[in-house]
Amino acid sequence: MNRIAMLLATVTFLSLQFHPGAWAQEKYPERPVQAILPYSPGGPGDLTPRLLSDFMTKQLGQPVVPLNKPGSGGFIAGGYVAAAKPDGYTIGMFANTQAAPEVLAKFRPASYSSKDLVPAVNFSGWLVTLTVRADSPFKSFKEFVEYAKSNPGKLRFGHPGVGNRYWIAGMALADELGIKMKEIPFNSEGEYLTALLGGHIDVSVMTYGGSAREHILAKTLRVLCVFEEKRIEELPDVPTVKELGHQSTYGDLFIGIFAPKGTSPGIISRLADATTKVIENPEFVQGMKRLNMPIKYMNTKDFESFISKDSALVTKFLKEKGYI
Amino acid sequence: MEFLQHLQYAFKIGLDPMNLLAAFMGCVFGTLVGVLPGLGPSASIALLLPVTYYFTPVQAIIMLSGIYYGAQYGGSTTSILVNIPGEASSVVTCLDGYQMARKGRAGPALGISAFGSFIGGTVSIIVLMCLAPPLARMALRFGPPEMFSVMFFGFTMIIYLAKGSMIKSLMMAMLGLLFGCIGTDLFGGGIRYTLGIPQLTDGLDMVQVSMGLFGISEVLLILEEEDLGKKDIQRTRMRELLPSRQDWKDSAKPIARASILGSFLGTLPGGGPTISSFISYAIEKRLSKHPERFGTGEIAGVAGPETANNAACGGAFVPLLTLGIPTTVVMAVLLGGFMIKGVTPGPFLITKSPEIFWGVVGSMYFGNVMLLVLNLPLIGIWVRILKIPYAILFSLIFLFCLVGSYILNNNRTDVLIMVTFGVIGYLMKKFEYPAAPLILALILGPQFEKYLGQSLIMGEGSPVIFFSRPISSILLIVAILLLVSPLLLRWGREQRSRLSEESGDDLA
Repeated sequence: MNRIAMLLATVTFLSLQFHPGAWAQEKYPERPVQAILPYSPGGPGDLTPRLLSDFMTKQLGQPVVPLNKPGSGGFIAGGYVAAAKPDGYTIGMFANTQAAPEVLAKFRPASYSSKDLVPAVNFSGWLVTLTVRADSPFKSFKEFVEYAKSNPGKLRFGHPGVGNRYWIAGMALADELGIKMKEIPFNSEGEYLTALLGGHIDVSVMTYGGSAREHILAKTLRVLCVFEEKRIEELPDVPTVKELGHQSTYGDLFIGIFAPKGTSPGIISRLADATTKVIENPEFVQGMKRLNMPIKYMNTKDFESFISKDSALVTKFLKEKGYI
Repeated sequence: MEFLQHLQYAFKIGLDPMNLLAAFMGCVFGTLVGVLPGLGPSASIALLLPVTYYFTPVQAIIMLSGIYYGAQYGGSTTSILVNIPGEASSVVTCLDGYQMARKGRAGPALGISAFGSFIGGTVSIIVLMCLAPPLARMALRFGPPEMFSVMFFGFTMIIYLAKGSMIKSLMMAMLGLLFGCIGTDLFGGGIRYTLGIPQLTDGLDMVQVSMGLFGISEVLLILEEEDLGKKDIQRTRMRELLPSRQDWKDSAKPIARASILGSFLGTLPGGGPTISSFISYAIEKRLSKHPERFGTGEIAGVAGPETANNAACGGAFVPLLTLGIPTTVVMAVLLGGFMIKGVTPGPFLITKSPEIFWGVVGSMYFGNVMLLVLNLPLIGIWVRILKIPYAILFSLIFLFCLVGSYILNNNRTDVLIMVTFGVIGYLMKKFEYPAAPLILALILGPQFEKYLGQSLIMGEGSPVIFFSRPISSILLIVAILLLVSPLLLRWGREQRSRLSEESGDDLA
């Protein structure tokens, strides 16, 4: 390309920046918004943000385009959004781990920290359960704890890796109960679901969704308790950790929208408002039901304070246990 | 009798015009995806997920499945023609397929590959139909100790991938093991050998490595030749386009063995088409009357692996459709496709949504037929590609590799990793170090470590666990026997010749 063409292009480009609309936040968004997803395509952590992106497109009037950038437990996606221009056209749909990567700094370094991201709103999360096989001798949480206490180090606990929130939830509960189990790491939930079904592990922390849910409903798996504030609708007889008298709520997992630090509050509230409207849309509720993912809403302020409380809790736990 | 009923039902759904169309679209796209190095079934299924919005659940799943097994048909094309695997499961096909092409036998190679794929795919569907639930239950019995033994068995197969110097092959296998250490340590949570590159935290991706090691290196190698504008791969005249009767005779048993092998291996976690193709190659070489011919263009070395990888596709559907468990990354994406349409596979699928289960099964029959019909005439077109001058052909290949490696994770570093392995692969080719053992070790190594660690935790540090469980001990014993059998045979022969010498002396 010759120099004159380049010069013309530059001048045109620069002049467009002075268009009155370029800085008007009420007009955001004026072009497609990229939503960065931290997981590989296909899993529930991917399908839920995609569903939201679909509905956000209609709400915002501009396409919200999901883009997968998997790897490093979501830190690659997090780093990408943290380093992006804070103009509201790059946002991330992240969970607890990506929101505060410094908690796991000893396990897996990240190129950013929670200070580099601004939370906008939370719209979903994972329902976390403590699950055993249906033909196991533990018919209830109490029986499980009794057995574990009288047989220390016998039970095989399957988890998705040291540092993962599911592992933290399980270990924190075990710690509170004063029980010891053999911790067996796996690469993914699919792997330890298989191991549990095959009888190679005895207990694990499982998402209530996807294939695990099918097994729970088919009564091949049994849920002992759920790591939630309230009981899960479809499992009315299963107690929550709180009801059982335990404080461990490390299983409180969210999926929310984040923007790079420096994004204007106007854009943040635009995203939050749009999400609030989407959540009230009955079609969206239907879609989430079909995916078997919950709607967990937190507005910007609540979300911010939850994130700092949550990461402080987890950091404290990891420090006390000597993991970091 | 129930079998025939199910078969009827499956065919009814499969023959539905819209479903046939969906299957056709999936197969065509899958073949394309398989042929292009880099773009794999998981990336393309993910790309097409939004498109399935307009389809009914049955149609969507039929189409996405078509992409999956279609890619296994197409993957061998570039392996045979230009020594560049389209898929990780087609790496082994490069070994003998490309040599056949250089001898002017690209047609029969492609042909036997297509037929083998068809037979393998069909057999695995029959297995899926008749044995899905019991197979799934059996697959569940493969816990960490059993999988360790499978990996152990797989490692002993590396020997059979050796071409030429055994030392060099073992060196490459060790290198593959070392490369496999890159990433996160599952048991301590720490990071190993990532050189601070975040993209390496999850280890090396098979796609980048095989594209670099085989594709980019081939491009670099070709750059050394002169007259790139005029030369082409076709060194000898094209003799036939289809496999001869002798070819069929040589391939019959390999295809039969590979069909069964793939159907069962596919049901195991992480099993899948890739490992099935490697193990099939090793088995064929071991059982062949002319093992020394492997690596020079022996058709059994193409027939076996290509059949196995397609059979493994069908096998992989067993745990997915009966238990909702994906055994490989591609199946996980397929699972996502199911869930988007509101269908979650699990123990209920066959009973609650029989049209999905039998629909997929039925359409797979027709999909395989369509693929065979599609691929056979294409052979004539593909072999013309061999006439394209190097300069154009390899520039295109280079472009596809670059794009393909980026598209996987939308990541620039992946491209750099691929190119790095391209340089490594180039050096390996120049100094005649075989790449196949490296790839196999890279695939098996991390899994080997994982299963070893998990089993030892289960067994509280004692290796007795591997022998206290029936499946695991049988596999280990067979593997050990295979390893020492050449030694035993040689020892036996020496004893016999010594005995005959002694008796000969007596007679004299």
